[in-house]
Amino acid sequence: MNGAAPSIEILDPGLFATVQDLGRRNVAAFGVTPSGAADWLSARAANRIVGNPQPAALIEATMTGISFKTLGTVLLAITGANAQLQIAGGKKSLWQSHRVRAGTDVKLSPAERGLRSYIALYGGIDVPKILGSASTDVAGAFGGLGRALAPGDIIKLNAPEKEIPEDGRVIRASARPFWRQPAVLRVLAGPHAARFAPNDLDFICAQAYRVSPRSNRQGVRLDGGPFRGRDGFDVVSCGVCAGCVQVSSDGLPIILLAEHQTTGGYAVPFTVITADLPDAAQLRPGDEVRFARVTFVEASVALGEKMQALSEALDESRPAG
Amino acid sequence: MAIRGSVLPVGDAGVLAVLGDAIDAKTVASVWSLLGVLKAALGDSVLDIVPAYSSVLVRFNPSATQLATVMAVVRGAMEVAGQTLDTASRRIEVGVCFSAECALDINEVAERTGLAPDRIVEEFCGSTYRVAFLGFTAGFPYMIGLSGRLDLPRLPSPRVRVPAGSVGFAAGQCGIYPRQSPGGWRILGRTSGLIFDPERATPALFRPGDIVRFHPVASLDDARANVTS
Repeated sequence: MNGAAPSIEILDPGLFATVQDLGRRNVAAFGVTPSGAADWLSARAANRIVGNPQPAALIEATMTGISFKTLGTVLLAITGANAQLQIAGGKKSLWQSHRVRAGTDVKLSPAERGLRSYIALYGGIDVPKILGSASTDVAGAFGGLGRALAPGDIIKLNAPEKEIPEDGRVIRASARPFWRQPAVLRVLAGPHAARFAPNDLDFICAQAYRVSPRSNRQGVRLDGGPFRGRDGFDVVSCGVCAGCVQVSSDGLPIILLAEHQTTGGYAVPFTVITADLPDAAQLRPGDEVRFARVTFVEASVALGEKMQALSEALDESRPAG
Repeated sequence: MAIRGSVLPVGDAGVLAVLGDAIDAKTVASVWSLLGVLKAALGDSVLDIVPAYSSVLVRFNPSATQLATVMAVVRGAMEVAGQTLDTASRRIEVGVCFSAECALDINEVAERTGLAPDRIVEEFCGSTYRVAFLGFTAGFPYMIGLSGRLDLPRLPSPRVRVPAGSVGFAAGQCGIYPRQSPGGWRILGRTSGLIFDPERATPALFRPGDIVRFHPVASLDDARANVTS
């Protein structure tokens, strides 16, 4: 049905769910974080599966799943963390589109592996764009719903421009995050690499860190053997971006994610490559993580492969299930 | 003209131009100059251009833009940038309520500096500040120009909640918290002016280069910020 704008009603948002897109630009100079989906790959894939433009607004849920009821016929796909999906009580696959009738309960169970799930709905979520984006800036309390989702929230979708596509579309596994344990994040030099002695950089790469429960959308905090370099970790505050690995005053690394502060005063010896940011965003408390240095060419090839996998034709041959 | 510094890659999606490692007016002026040249040269082809005290970060989409290209543009911009102060500087007068309820740290600052609370307010309001850049949280102005008599480090342990509008200082810098947030600066007073509004055409009240003065007011309701020129 063209023209009618469906919506969904949040029954249980889980631990922490927000509306996100691919984030803001040209705002960091105001002190505004880019925000946006922490795992850009899963978010883009979810939108692509349902036939949305990749920057369409969707829901990012965290760890404990999410449940909602459809108010109108929707086409949806859920990507990201591994979890059980039930639609009207029947088990369904992630990374695949599902056409769901009005009044149906959709329930995503707590994540078994990975942390963040992306729920894309055909047409995209209809929220006003603030500073050029639908993304929720939680600390700033603007964008999206201006806050995390709560039970009873009605999420409006944009009216479909054309007939809702058939379901059953899936995306290749290479357009999904890896779930290796320990996770290995590939890094390039950060802006302050030269402040560290080669031995110090080797020390950080030799550690097996554990993801701290104090992690959030600002950053993944790591526990483990603290780094004790000769110099302090403080630098004159400078701009930072997602992927920057800050060594904080306790000698432990923090990997900045989408909702990082715009500037930071801790030294950044490494930066996680863009291709591996989705894996960083899917780390959950207790996961083991290591850093591995790569060359710029390797980083470039890795990103090219993921973008290629995203842009390839979707496989529609698999039966819906 | 040309400004000196180093141009460093930040992984595969950023380039940082570092113009020094001090917080001083001369370095800040170089940052503003470079910022202007980079905005003109890069325009919408990058995601963000982020000034700080002594650096400018360019953040870009590595699927669309080559790191080497951005590094070359930044090096070229440093050749033509100068150290000119922005001629379009505005003046902003900020009324501050220094009542006991708002001046959370004034007694401790008095103890540590040996200045009486009245003298601290005089000293603080006697200086002229300049906004170096915005960072930390939406609309937070980092200002230089703090009196040497108020040179104290950050609080040993940051507060979990600093009230919105709090005016504070630390480590030679001065700033205003636009929203309630955690923070480790020493709070002397509070203003009720709206520092950041994402739905305003210009969301942030302050911008780099602004000349800022503080004056005491009797109540928080009168503690407004006025752009005077």
